[in-house]
Amino acid sequence: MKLLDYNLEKLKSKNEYLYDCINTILADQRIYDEISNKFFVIETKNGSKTIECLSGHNKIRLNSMYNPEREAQKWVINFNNISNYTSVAMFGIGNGVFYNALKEKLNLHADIFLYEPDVKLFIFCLANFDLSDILCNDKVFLYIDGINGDRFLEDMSEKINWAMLSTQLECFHPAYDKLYKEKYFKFEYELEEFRNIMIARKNTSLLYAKKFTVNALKNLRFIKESNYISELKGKIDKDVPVIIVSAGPSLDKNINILRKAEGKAFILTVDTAVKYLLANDIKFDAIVTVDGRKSLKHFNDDRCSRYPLFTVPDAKSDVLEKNHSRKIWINGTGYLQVLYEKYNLKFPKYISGGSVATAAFWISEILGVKKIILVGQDLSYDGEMAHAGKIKQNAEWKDSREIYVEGLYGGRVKTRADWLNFINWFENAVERVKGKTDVIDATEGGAKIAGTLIMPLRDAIERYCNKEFKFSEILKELPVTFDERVYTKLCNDISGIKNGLAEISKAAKKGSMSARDNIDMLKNKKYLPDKLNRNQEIMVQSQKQIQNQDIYILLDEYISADIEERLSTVGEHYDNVRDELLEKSINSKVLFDALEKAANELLPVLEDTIKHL
Amino acid sequence: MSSEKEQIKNTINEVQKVVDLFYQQNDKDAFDKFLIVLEDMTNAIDNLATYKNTNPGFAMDDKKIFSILSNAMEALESDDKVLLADILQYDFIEYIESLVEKME
Repeated sequence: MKLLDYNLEKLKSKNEYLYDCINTILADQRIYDEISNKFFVIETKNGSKTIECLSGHNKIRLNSMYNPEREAQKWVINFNNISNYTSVAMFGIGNGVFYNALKEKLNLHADIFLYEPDVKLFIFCLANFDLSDILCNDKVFLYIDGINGDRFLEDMSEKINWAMLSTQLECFHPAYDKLYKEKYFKFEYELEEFRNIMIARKNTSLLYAKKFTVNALKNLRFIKESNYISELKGKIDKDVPVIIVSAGPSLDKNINILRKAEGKAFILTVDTAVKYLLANDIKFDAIVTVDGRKSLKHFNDDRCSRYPLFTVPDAKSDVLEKNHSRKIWINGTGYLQVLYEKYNLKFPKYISGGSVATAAFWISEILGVKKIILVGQDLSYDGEMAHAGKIKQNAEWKDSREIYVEGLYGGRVKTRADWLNFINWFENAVERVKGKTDVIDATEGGAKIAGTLIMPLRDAIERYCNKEFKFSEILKELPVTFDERVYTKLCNDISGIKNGLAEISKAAKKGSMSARDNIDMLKNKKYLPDKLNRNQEIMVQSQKQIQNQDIYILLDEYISADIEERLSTVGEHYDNVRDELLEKSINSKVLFDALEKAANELLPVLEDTIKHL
Repeated sequence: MSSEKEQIKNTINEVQKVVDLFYQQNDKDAFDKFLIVLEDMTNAIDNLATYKNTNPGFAMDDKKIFSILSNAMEALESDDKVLLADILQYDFIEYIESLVEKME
């Protein structure tokens, strides 16, 4: 079997989408000439093979002419404590030699994100080298520029927790930075974006993790009269557009035009825009709220309690409490997913953009509509105004740098760092849905979102909002997720969390005592190896017992602020084994103490929730 | 061990460090060190030549060393750092090491 066929079979078994795309490319016979004129296999002095690439008039080799394997092994030495890394982001795959050297030293559980900037080179390598490990490995995530390269940043942001940022290795295949300079700059830019996203998540988590976890527990009581997003797939006529109403300054200009879309579109409003719609007596269909810290002032008008709520498990509990309509869970973040999976209910993969408007877009994508109309999506300042209602920038917000982007109608408009991230998210999202969904930007101001069709709202409504539509009718026909019988079972599951918390508390106490014992021995330099090992085993067992509890997923986030300082020491290099063991024991004790405290703090919250189920 | 032999062995160690830096893509440090080591390499070759003159049976191939250095310079001029590292590792170091082994 030719290497190309062999590699393609391996690729197909893991990533059918990539496989189909590569096959489509291969169907064009011209690709073979292009590849054979640009890439060549060269035999090295030790009998291996390398690749020579024609770049303009220059020939660039991707590996050592003498011994590619040894070169790769020397390259890997560069990275200290490589076995401590939890993930790798690497630019360039080549013939896999550098990947192999890296993988040999990495922890088995590390995730490896490989970005190949040249699909032709990738195909050449598929035809000439055995890449089966890269293609089949569950811990390897492959991104090919021009095929799924746009997913790189999003996927990494989803798969990697902020706590793992300090143990991520970023590297590039030697020579790739020369061969694909511009794409390498783009890759580095995306990595910086990724780091910014992680830091933003970390800061949010440190400040609000406990609050969000308490929300997630309290909100379990709202499962009774709820649905989840998968139940709405296919329920909305594809020809009915979704109008996403956000609270940018431009909303003041065209809010009244929305009246013409009432009953003819699915008007989905973000929580911050609700009060403006109600103040102008505009009827809408549903509200999206995802922020666990959202101020109740956005929901002061009692009329909003009648509208269904698209929301997340850790949204602000008080907001959900105040709302008397149907709740629709858009993701199962944390414990909810674990709970629903027990009943074979699966949430679709949630692509978070970090804002309520991006959440609204994602909802629209899942609903499968053909048109999404954006209103109030400025993502820029209008003079001093940051929001609708002529609201200026919050005085406490300080822009660390001035950022300007292209305006909707040309020129430059001032934005800020988080809005810029959202602009990028929307642009990627528009690209993602291309061919299935058209995105119309009817904001009539603000920053340009590339790929959208720019149109005044009046024209967009006239053109696309022609079919009668009432979301309330759809909800009337749709029963809640759990009937009474199943709901009773679910309540038992939730009540069972009490045992889970008790188990965690017990195991954490045991683990903490063993960690304390080891710390004392190591600090006093009076250690008995057998005792050290025994304590180590107890800690490992305790950790396993804790992680086996379903509720652990919530505690993991809850304790992030308590252990943040220790997280930064992971991956550090130590001069001797004693120091390394001591630091690990201290880390373990901090973790166990935090878990015990968390279990004890959350128990009364859970007990209160159980009373209200 | 004679001081000349020691100088040559030290030079081999220093060149090895340059090689490792290039393989690790630490180009700036590699070049900085290479500039310093070049002088040591010249001295090492001189020491070997002197030893050859006083020990007629010592089989040092001048042309080979010249060719190695020439190839190294070519690699340097074409900015092929991996090739430069390869030549220093597999040609220069290995050959000089084989000569040193034969020295008394």
